[in-house]
Amino acid sequence: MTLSNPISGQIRRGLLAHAVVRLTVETVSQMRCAPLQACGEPFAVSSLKHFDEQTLAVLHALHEALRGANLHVEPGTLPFRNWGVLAAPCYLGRSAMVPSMSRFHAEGAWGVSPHMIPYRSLHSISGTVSQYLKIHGPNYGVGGGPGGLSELLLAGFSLLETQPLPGLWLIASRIHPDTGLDDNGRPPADSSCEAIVLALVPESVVTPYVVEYTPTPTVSFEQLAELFDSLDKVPECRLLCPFGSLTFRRKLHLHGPHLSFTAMTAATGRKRL
Amino acid sequence: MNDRVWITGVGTCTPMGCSFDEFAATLLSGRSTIERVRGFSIEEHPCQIAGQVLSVPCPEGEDPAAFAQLHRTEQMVRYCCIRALCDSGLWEKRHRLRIGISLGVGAEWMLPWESDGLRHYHAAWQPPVTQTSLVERTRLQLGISGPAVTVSAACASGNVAIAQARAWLRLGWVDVCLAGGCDMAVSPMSLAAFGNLRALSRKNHNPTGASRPFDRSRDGFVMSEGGTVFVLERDAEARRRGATLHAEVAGCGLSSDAHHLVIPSPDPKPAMAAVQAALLDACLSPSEVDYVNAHATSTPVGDVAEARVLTMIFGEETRRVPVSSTKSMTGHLLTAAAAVEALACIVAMKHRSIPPTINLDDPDPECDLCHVAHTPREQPVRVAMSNSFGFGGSNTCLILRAA
Repeated sequence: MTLSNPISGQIRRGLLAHAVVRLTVETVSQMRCAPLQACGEPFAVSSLKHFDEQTLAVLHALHEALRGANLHVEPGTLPFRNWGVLAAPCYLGRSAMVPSMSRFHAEGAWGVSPHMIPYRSLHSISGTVSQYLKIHGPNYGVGGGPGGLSELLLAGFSLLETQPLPGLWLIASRIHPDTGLDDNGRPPADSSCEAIVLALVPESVVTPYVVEYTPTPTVSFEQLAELFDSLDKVPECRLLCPFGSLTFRRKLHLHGPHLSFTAMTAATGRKRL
Repeated sequence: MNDRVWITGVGTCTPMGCSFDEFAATLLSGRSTIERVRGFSIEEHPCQIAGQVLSVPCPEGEDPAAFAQLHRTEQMVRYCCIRALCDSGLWEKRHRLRIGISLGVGAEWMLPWESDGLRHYHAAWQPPVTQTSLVERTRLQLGISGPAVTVSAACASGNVAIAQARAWLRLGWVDVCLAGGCDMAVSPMSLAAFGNLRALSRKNHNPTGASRPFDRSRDGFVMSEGGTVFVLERDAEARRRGATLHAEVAGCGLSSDAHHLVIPSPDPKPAMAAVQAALLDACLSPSEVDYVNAHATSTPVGDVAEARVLTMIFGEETRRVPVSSTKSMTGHLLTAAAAVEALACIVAMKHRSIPPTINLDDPDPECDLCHVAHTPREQPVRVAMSNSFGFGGSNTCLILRAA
C-alpha cells in the first residue's frame, strides 16, 4: 500500500524474540506427521492435516523464535496468557481452493471441504497461534495479500500503543517464489514456505533489542527478512522507507523488569529470568 | 485530554436496505429478509436459504459501467465508504483530510478466485494479476490519504476494525477514519463449505423462520451478506464542524478463547474478559447498559455459551437488561456482522426502540435472558453493548453511547 501523507510519532518497544524461517514444501509436509505441542493441548495429526502450509511454517518459526531467545515454555504454563497475536498471511487458502474447486465441479456442493473456512481463512493463523500458545488477548488476521506486512506493522504498533498488552506476536507468512500451483494445489518443489515472527514487549522489559517504528506503509517481507538476517552481526539495523522507518537496535545495558519465562541459556541450562 | 470518538457517518447496504432509514424501518418492523437463495443452483446444498444483496447500487458520481465490472465485494466496500463519507458531510472535503480505512473483510481473494473458478478459469492456480489490496484500491479510488488496513477476526471483524480506527484517531494517525465490515459471501462454495461444516440451519422450508437465536428449536445460522461502514471522528473536530453525532464509540474489548478454531470455549471467562474490558474502557458498570445486541447466531452451542457469559456479567441485572439478536432478521453477515449490529444499536438509540429477536417462540431455558421477542420494545437506549464472536476464538465487545 501507499500513503500520501506522513504520520508523525515514533513508537518504541522491546524485541523479545524473532525468527525468519524458509522451509521447503517437503519439510512442511513432514510437519503434518507428528503432533505439535507448545502451551496447551497438542495439535493432533488429524488437525495438522488441515493446516495450511503457511500455518505450519509459522508454528515452526515460533519454535525458532523461542529457541533463539532462550525461552523455554514449560507445558502447562501460560507465559503468553495476556498477550495478543496478529498474523498477516499472503493468499492463505489458495492451495486448498484449487483442489476444492475441482471437487466442486466434479461432485457438487458435497465436494467442498468444511475445513476451508476454519483452517484457510485470513483469521486462521492468528486463531491457531492463540490456541497453540494459549494466548487470551486479541487475535486477528491482517492484510491477506502481498502488502500485508506493512498493514501488520500499522495494525500491531497501534494496538500496542492503545491496549495494555504485556506482549504481542506479529507474524507474516507467504509462499515464495509464488509461481503457480499444480492441480492438487501444491506449490512448485523449489518454492519455500516463509514466515517471520516478532515478539514485542514494553520497552522496560529486559530484551536483547529495541524496535523503533515510525509508521510507514512500505515495508516488504524481503526487507524485514534481510534485516533479521543481519541483526546478530551489527548493533543497529535501520530500514528507511517513504514516510517512516523501522529500526532494530541492540541494547547495550539490560535493565528493567523481567518476564517470568523459564529461560534456557548456554551456560546454565534452564533458569528463571 | 478529551479522547472521545464519535460515529458521524453511516454507509450501509444489506438485505434490510441500502440506507440508514431503510435499514431502521425493516429492523423495527420485525421482518426477516431471509429467502431461498437466488442466482445459482442450490439443489445439492444442505442449506438453501440466505439473505442476499443481488445488486449493489452504484453510488452517485461513479461510472455505472466501471462499477459493474468490479467484484461484488469491492462494489459493496465502495458503496458503503462513499455513502458514509456523504452522510458525514465530509465527501467534498475528503482530499483535505487524512482519512484512514480500517475494514473487516474476510474473503477478499477467495471470493474472486471462486467466481473465476466457477467459470472454469484458473485464476487460483496463479498468483493474482492485481496484487493491490481491496482497501488500498478503495483508498486510491476515493482519493484519500490515510493508512488502509484489512483485518479479519472472522465474524468479529467489524468490532476489531472499529477498535483499530479509534486507536488511530487517538494516536493522531488520522483525522477521520472509515471503519466497518463488508462481506458478500453468499456464493456456491461458501454456502457449501458452511453447510458441510454443519454450521447452517437446514430449515429450508421456512426461510423467514430459520434464524431463531435463543429458541429451543434453533439448528444453525443462516448466511447473509452486505456491509456497513462508519465515519469515525475525534470529539473536538466533530463538534467544531457541527457533525451529526450518531453515537460515541465508548468502549471496545478484545480477547481470545485459545480453545478451538470453531467451537466456543465451554469456559465463559475468555469471552467475559472481552465484555469486561469494553465496560472498563467505557468507564461503565453493567447496570448502566440499556440494551445488549447479542452475537447469538442461532447455533445450539454458541447461543448457550453467550447466554452464560451475559448471565455472569450482569448477575442480578440479567433479568432487567434487554437482549436481542438481530440476526433473527438479518441472518449472519459474517465479517460484516459486527458492523451491521453496531448499526442496529444506533437504530435503537435514535428510535428509542429495541429491535426484537423474531422467531423466539420457545426460549431455550439455558438462555434465560431478558429477551425482546417478536416485536420491538419502546425504550430509551443510552448505552448499547454489541457482542461479536468469531471462528479462531475471537471475542469482541463494542459499547456505544448515545449523544
